[in-house]
Amino acid sequence: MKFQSRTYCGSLRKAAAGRRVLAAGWVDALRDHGNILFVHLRDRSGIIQVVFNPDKTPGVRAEAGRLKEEYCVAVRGEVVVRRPGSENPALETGEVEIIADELTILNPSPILPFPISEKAMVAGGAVAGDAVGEDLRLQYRYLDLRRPSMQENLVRRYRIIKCARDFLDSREFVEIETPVLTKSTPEGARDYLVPSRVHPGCFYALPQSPQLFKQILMFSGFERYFQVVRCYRDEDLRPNRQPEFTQLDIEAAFIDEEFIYELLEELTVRMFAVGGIDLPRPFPRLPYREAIDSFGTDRPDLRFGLRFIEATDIFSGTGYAVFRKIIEQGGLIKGINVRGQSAALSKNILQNEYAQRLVPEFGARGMTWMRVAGDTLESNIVRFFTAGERTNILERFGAGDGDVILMIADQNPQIVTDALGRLRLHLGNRLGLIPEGEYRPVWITDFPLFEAAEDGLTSRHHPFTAPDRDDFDPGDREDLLSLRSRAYDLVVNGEELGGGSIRINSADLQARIFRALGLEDTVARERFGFFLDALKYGAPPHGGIALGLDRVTAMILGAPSIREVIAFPKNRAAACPLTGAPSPVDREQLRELNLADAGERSAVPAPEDIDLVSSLSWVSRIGIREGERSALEAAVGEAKDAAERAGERAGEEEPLYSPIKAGGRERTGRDPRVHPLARDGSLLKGAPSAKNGYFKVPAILE
Amino acid sequence: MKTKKKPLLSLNRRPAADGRGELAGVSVLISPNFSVRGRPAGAVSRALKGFTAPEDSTAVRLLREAGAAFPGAPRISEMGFGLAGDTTAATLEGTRCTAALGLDTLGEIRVAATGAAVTGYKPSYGIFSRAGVIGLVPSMECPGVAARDISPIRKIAAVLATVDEEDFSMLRRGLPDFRRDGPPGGRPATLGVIRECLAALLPEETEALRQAVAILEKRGYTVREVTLPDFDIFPLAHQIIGSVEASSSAGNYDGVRFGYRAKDCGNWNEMYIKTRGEAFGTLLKSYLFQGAYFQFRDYAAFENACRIRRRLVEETEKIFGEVDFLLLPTRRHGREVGEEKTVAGTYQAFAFTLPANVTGSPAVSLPGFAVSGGTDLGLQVVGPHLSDARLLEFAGRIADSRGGAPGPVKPGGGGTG
Repeated sequence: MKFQSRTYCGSLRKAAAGRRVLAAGWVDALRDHGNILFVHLRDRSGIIQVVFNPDKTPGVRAEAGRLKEEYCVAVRGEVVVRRPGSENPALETGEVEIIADELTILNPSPILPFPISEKAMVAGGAVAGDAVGEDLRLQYRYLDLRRPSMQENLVRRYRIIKCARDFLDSREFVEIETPVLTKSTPEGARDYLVPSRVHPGCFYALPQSPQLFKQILMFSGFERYFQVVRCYRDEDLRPNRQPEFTQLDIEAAFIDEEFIYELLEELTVRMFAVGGIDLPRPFPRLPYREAIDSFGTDRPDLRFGLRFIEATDIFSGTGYAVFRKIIEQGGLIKGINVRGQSAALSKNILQNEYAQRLVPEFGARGMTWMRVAGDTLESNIVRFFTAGERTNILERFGAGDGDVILMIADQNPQIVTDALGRLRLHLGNRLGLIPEGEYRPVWITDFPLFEAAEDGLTSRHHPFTAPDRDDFDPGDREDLLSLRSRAYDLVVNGEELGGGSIRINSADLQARIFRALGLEDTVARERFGFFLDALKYGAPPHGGIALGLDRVTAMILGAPSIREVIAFPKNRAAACPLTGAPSPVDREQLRELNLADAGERSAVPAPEDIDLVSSLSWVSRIGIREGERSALEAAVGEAKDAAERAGERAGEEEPLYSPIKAGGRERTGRDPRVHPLARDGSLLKGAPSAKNGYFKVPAILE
Repeated sequence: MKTKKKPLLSLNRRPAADGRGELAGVSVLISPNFSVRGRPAGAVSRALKGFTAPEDSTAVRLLREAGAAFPGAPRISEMGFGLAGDTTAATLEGTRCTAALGLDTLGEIRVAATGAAVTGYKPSYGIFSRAGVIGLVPSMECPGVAARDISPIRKIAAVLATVDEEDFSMLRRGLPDFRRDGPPGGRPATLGVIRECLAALLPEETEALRQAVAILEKRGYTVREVTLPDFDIFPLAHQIIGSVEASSSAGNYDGVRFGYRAKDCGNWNEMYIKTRGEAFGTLLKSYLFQGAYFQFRDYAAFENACRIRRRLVEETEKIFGEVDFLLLPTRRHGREVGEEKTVAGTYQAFAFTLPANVTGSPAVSLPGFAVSGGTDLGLQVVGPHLSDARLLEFAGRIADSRGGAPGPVKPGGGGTG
């Protein structure tokens, strides 16, 4: 079969009527009208309806009777305009169809593990939802990726990255590749290690970022570098994290912060525009301290208000013992005014849900609430406040009728801002204050250079970040903690999309920073000697940034998870259900790498069976008790043999799923109803745990 | 088989107050995998620990309405998979109960009946409601009945063969009519033995089946050899399909809606894994892992098994064009069904009964026919789908004429001597 003359399914419109075309693709869906068969044929461009009519081509119609979903086929026929009233507005090609006169089945398909079709065959018809388990989707990723929405995601991802490459190219940046087998760099996460065969006992590390290489490229005089680069971090699992992720890595020489702000704003605006999103410029800048003081986080979501209001001074002479004590101990009182929400926030919710339960979960001891009714304050503690204090509260919070004032007080200021920040997000979601379809970028600046750690200091970003001044004493802890860094984070809608800094370009300053971090000179030399040496040879002033491309793409496309914008992601357990990675390897392979001891296992079952049993335990959510493993290994080994025998003995019959015909399996004439046992609560009686008429379960989200 | 374990429960329910109804005076042991309102279901599995059935299963309700009494429950294997630790046979022998109601997935009720030297009956698929049954393999399992004679089985079957809207897998019409008597004397039946089955029998099993055939031939029945080329892969199809369905069915036991939940679970996943890891015993878990393997690692195997199942149904249907009923031994020689600890062993023990579950055919196991060296392996008579009334009538006829004693029959009647 020659495909040169092939027409894309999605390209057909009324103008093509009368043309004879060759289309090829997959059977998306079928509708059998007894004599006439309608087929949705899908290729990467879209879907066209193909009609098999026994009156016109009985042989072809008969052959088409074999078709099932996802058969790969080629069809020849004439494009005709559909009868009025039979158009399908859900399809771009919905006004036309192909009347097939030739059909070639290129490759059949067994029954699918889950539905792929996303388009209804008739206007208003139903399509299968997204309820397929993610592990199943990942195991059959080649089928999952056939879904038009997944194809769209990956094509758009390509467009977004291409847009970034084109833009950076226009600004005279060059893309340079850096090694994947490299040396451990200090990014704060665990490295993925690769054993070296020729250097027994030595390991490469996969890069957590190309940080040192990109700086060295600046020393080498490229001036403007970028790279779409894979980075690897062996971190604890979180829902929206991948062990490997893609970063848009940028570095430039002879620049300052303003260069980065301008470059990145233009870049992000263009990337978001690919998804039809208009980002407002310039991006506001918010110093770290102000972000914490006003929003309780360095990743503030600016799509809604509820800024914090400082209230400590209002109560400087208060008679209310709780506040007085906190102020005496140098504590902090802050609050927010939830405007016009007193109807939504009843006394019951404020006291029992927020003050008693939610805010303590956020780490604070309690919460003070006041509802404003007319010009008076309503609260369980308001009687402890003087008239002056009450007036001051109303004034300070700019509060009026219907407002709700929430305050958190604690002797530890960080607890106040943390808890209030989480409460702010909670209220934003609960009260629907977060507008859909709005994007609010912000630069967070002036981070502290160091953070206090149990035994000394750590870098807030990484140790190559330039401080705002270089007259510090590496031995003076207080002085060091007062240093700010020349780092910046780009935050959109409460999510950090990227971060970077102006770097240190002096070997002396770099050495003093290492010293401040408690890294002895000899250790620093051992780990970063090559880099300190390189700094000495006229390294130019430079700086850069990296954007997390998976997150950026997911945000632009509105995807619920970064796994939706990655072709072959790992699952939440950092495994790949498609290939089965990670997997044990041959003992021989380990011996070659001088890692023979690492693969030591009890001798009996094959290593792949051990792994198989663990993975089946996970996917079927059945734990393995002590002493049970060998029985399960044997059972699974038996299942493998059975599968093989079934493959040998099965014929071409249609599978039979029940001994009686499906006709008897339909339930008709029943309206949905609440079962009497559910209505009177008996159903909950047998549950291990129930509360307020619901089944009670442990946390669903990590 | 004769374990000394006591029945787990003895509820001593009295018959319906008015003492009337079709089943007045009939007492039925109810296997604990049938829900009985107010009765704890924990005996079925740790997964149901502490759970009390909120309503009757349809089968129990029908029996109750017909005036049957429920004197208690035997012990069963976990979720009724196989007969490991099952006391149905011992309980039937040791009490004066008329009958036992149990779930037949691999042939449990028929093999248990053989153990107690009584009659066991598995109906056609889809004629007795499974609503309220705690089962594992929806497309294979049927409520079955064991009793000393055919007559109470027929009475109970007549009550149970009632269309039930709660069971969507049931037939909606065309259920067998057990209340109508066949023509007096019945028409002569042609019987078949499967060539491929004969070839696979152990010497003792061959001897036992030959015994039974000899009795029936003496009685004037024609016994023919028929061929079922894929007889050897009934267990394969059953195991793959059964384990996959079991793995799905066991999804019910999640520690949320009922039964057991493990302690100290930090999150949702941990709750599932720990709860289900602690809830299921090793034998059942092995079966569920096999099902998970086919579901998640080799789905094609499940489809292949379903293809094989269609072929087996078609081959069986073809045979019923040649003969009226098929004869098979019920249980295997030399296997202690109560002691099987592995899936493979369990399947071997039920190799002769599970074909009827695969095809959905009705089957009756009769004592006293297939005896070898003092061991009664049970004679299974299998009929085509929905031939239940005719099958029970035939079984009654041959059991009656045997006069309760195995061995050569006294001359008389149609015997040729």
